[in-house]
Amino acid sequence: MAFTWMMTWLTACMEKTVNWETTTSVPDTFFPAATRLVSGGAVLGGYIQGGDLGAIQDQRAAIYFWDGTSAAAVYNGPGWVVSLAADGAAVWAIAATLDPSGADSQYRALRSIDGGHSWADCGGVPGSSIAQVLSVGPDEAWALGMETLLRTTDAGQHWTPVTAGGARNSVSERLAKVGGRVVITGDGVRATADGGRTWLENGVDGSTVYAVDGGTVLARHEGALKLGVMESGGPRWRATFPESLRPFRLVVDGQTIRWLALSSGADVGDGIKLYESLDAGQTWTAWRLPAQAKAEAADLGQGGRAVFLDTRRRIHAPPVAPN
Amino acid sequence: MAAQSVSSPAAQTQRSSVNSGQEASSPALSGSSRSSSMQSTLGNEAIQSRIAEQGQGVGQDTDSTSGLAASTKVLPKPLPGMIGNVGYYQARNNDYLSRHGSPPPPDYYLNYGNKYARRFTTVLRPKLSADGQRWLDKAFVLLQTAMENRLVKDRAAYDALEMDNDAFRSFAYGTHPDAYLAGGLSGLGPVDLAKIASTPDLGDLLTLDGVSQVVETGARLVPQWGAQAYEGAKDLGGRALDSASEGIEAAWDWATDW
Repeated sequence: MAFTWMMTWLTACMEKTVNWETTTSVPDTFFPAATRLVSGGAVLGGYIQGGDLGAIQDQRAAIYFWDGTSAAAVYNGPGWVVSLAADGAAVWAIAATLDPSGADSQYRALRSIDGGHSWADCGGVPGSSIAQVLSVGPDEAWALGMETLLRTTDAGQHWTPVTAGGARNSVSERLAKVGGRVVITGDGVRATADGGRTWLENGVDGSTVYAVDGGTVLARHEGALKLGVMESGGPRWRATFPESLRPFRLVVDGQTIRWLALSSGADVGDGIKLYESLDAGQTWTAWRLPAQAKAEAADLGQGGRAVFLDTRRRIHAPPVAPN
Repeated sequence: MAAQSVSSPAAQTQRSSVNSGQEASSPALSGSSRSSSMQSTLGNEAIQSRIAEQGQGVGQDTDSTSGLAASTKVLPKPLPGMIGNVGYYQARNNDYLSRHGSPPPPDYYLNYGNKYARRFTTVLRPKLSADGQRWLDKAFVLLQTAMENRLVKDRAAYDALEMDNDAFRSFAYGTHPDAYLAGGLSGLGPVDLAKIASTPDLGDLLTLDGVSQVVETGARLVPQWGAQAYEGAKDLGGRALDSASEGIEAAWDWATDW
């Protein structure tokens, strides 16, 4: 309880706004669906909004590559980009257009095998709801939607439904690649190392898990937001944070732990929160990123890499090389 | 408990967003909001006619098939005809209630969207200049369009989003800066900006985040105007002021740690 109080106090009184370098911007009509660090910079997928009333028919899918200095348009197509994910040089995206009825979406896969510099359309993806993509390699990707989990192993030519315990929910679940396994976080953690034939399930002590990196988890446990380390007997909780936070990215880098979150509390809509511990979670510093208040607008990586897009579409990053 | 096991995956069914016309209409709309649309929509006729054009063929009252197994689940109903209407958020709330008994609808619909829509249009709009009114009309439409677009793009996911109050709040609040900016906030004079910034003081929607959102956006766009808007917002709470100031004078003393 004392620690919870302390973290709340820390957030309210000591949170500072980062002032990272701003090197360039993307068009102010660009709306991000995903921002992902890649080798040599970052890839931003989303759409360019045409017209002036925000009509969905006036949206064009767009992907930008940011090299640390400037951002270049590397893809332009119909509809909008739904999600984007990178695994080394293999970067996958899901794009969508409205179906003829105008009331649902039709999806297609896009793939880059050169780290996001150039893109190819891989064809349609079955399903009526897709919200996330996970890159596992140049030929393998997964897609998650409502009651939908798909996998391709032939560079997007075919997508096969995958079954796993529970019902898929793209709002409360996240796809991730952790230690060579494909992981679904949400109601605990589900992990597979054989393409989804078998799953290792861990309830993480009845938690709602937001993010995992290695053996470290960020989860809501008994109503409280906690960071824990998975051990044989279950999670060992190391820290408790303000309950209004909703984490979406966790990076463990030796003794350094960093994670990003949106707030649903009094400061909802006010940028993105960055929590950092340099001593394996014993002490924490809270920062505010003056970013668009969307998980789609920021990313963290190993080695202190980070990137975010602000409301004016300026790209910010810490003063370290993009690699 | 850490119960680890190798599971046999439960059967998972794919479904489409077909609902075969099972969606209930929004009862309150057909009787009240729609019939009073002349009073509840914004005054910009050009915007209204363009919205009407865009709404055609957007599945206003029909559902579609996706070619996959049909589901009996009733999904959110697009309401393109309500965009630009102050009753939009009430209509979305009603649509949710027609589909779910619990959990309650996202509190954004009535506690923020609906109240702000009415406060902005009935209280703020008459005080604004012609430019300010054009900004408000457009931003109002953009806010609702962003919500409607999110729904149309993936109705099943929107249904799940509605059932997660915190996530919905984050989504909805995240649309405000874009709507304000695309609406033309940067083209407004300091008087309009100050009036916009102080509007939450008119009611129980005085929230620091709402104030800082407006003030901060204005400050970043036009610093000198932002300074005047801060003056107008000072009485609304020191924390909002501090928060906005931090964005300008942020200390950067941890860069070397990265």
